[in-house]
Amino acid sequence: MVTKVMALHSLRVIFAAAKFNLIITLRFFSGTAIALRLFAPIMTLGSAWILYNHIYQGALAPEFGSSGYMSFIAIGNAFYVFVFAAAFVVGRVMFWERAAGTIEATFMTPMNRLAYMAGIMVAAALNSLIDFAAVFLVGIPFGFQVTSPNIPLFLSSMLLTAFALFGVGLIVNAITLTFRDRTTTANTLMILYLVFSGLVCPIELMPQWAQMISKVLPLTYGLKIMRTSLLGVAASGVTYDLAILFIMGVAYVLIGALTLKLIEKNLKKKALLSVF
Amino acid sequence: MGVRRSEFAVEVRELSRDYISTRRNHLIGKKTTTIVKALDHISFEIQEGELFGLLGPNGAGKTTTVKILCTLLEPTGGHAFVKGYDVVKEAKHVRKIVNMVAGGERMLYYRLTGRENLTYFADLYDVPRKEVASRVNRLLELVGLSERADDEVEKYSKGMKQRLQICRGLINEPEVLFLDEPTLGLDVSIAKDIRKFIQEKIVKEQGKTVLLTTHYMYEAEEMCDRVGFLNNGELVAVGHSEELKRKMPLGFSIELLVTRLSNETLEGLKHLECVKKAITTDYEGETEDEKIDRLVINVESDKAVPKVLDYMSNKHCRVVAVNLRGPTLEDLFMFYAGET
Repeated sequence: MVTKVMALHSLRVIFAAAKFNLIITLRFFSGTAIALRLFAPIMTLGSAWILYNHIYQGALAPEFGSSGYMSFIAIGNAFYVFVFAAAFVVGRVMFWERAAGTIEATFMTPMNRLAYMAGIMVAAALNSLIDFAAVFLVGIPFGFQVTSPNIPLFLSSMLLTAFALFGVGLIVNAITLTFRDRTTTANTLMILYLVFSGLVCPIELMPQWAQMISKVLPLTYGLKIMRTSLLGVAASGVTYDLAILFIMGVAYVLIGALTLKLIEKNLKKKALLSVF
Repeated sequence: MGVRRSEFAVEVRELSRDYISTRRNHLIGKKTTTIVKALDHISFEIQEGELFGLLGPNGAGKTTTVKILCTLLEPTGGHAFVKGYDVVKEAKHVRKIVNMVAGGERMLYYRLTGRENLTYFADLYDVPRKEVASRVNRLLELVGLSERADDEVEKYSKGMKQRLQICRGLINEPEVLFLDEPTLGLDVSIAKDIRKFIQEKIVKEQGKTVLLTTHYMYEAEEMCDRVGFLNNGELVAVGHSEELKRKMPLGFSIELLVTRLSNETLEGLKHLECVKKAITTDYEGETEDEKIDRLVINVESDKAVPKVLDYMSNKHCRVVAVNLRGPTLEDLFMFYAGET
């Protein structure tokens, strides 16, 4: 009975945190904000298009697959917005709560902290879907095309990646709070993913040591599954990746949850909860 | 873990909190560690339904005490219980039954409306869903914010934000409410309304236990049943205000507005047997042709009044006004803060 009440309360907290964070974002959403959100994919995909067509003269290694460079890059770029949500929104939520002076009010409540962070991740992921869609839309004139979509596999890749990145976000959150760091941790994570997850270049083309690093990053697997789901490879080819991504997600979330608990205790011990 | 039996709403036993700060003077220099004792083995208790004032100058340890009781800070020693629950070991239980309002406009989401803020916190506190809307409306009405409930908080004035904070502090119907300088920086009329609201609605009507910290002595004088004085992390006195005043060794104060006061007269006054202390305070006043000085004279009993007046008359000072008063909380505050 007690467990049921706690579970229902946690669901309520997830819903409330997601709802009110979306309200905050959407209330101040303007035409300028939409234009700015289109600007980044235009610049990224435009640069890739110039590189591919004018510098490398359309030459492409077979590891990029048969659907073309722009499709490869568009999916990588779209996935990158998820990393942004995890690193910059979930990873810095408490940092901003501390800056805004609301962290004590929220930490004084009996809510489940993990549920609260999950709500933030849901809001961030839903919000990032706008950027996700923007990348695909902008990609079409540059040559992005979905050759043989597998919707269930596509959704699985999105959900499992969001789940794993949530765990990563929790760890980033702890580091950000401990070292009172505003951007370095999140930026480092972004670069790590950008270089080692196969966003701009197939893993197979990287040196051995880089391939080893890519194996511990959940985005590597999520990206591979998504490319498969949109660019047409048999789903059975990614069963292993789905399993690894799920296991990795569970591991990251467990470590993240533990870190969250430890960081709260440590902040209360060192009297740093409200120190900005 | 079972609830500890306690007859008190709040019980603090030998509570200590040290703040440790390390500092490196150079990039590769040795670290120096400084330990500040914010709380030094303090003990007190608050009865059910009592409005208890924790007083002291800035840095005395008031906010530290409140934060420990709200589970926002861990003590370095001692124990604290709220309704019998240990604030460290049973923090989850404590969080359900307490809330805190701090002065200074924080603890609210400025981009949400007043109503959204309260609904959000109602969800975090797991207030029964059916009750949320009515409770939010009732609280907004209580503090006079109903008409502005759907405006974003960033558009509120300072006083409105503070009133909304009080609503947030009451959203979970806490059994114990901590008010940490709740009227800080507010104008006189709003502060008065808030004091009245706390006394009449929260304490008298709803029977809540309240711990108020303030360094406005008139606020504590007006509101608190009992008070405790903190100074440099030590609880130097606890009790009913009147009882503490009676015990105070300073006796009575005579306030005089006089003209023609010379330094020689003042020094002579200080040497009268019935006078314990005499000081002039800032006062800008004058009669048609003479400057007026304000004198505060501490005496042991009211019998000293005619002796002081005779002395002033003999020294050709003109007494414009006389006021005899017993010690106030402000006198106690000054005494315990070592500023007498």
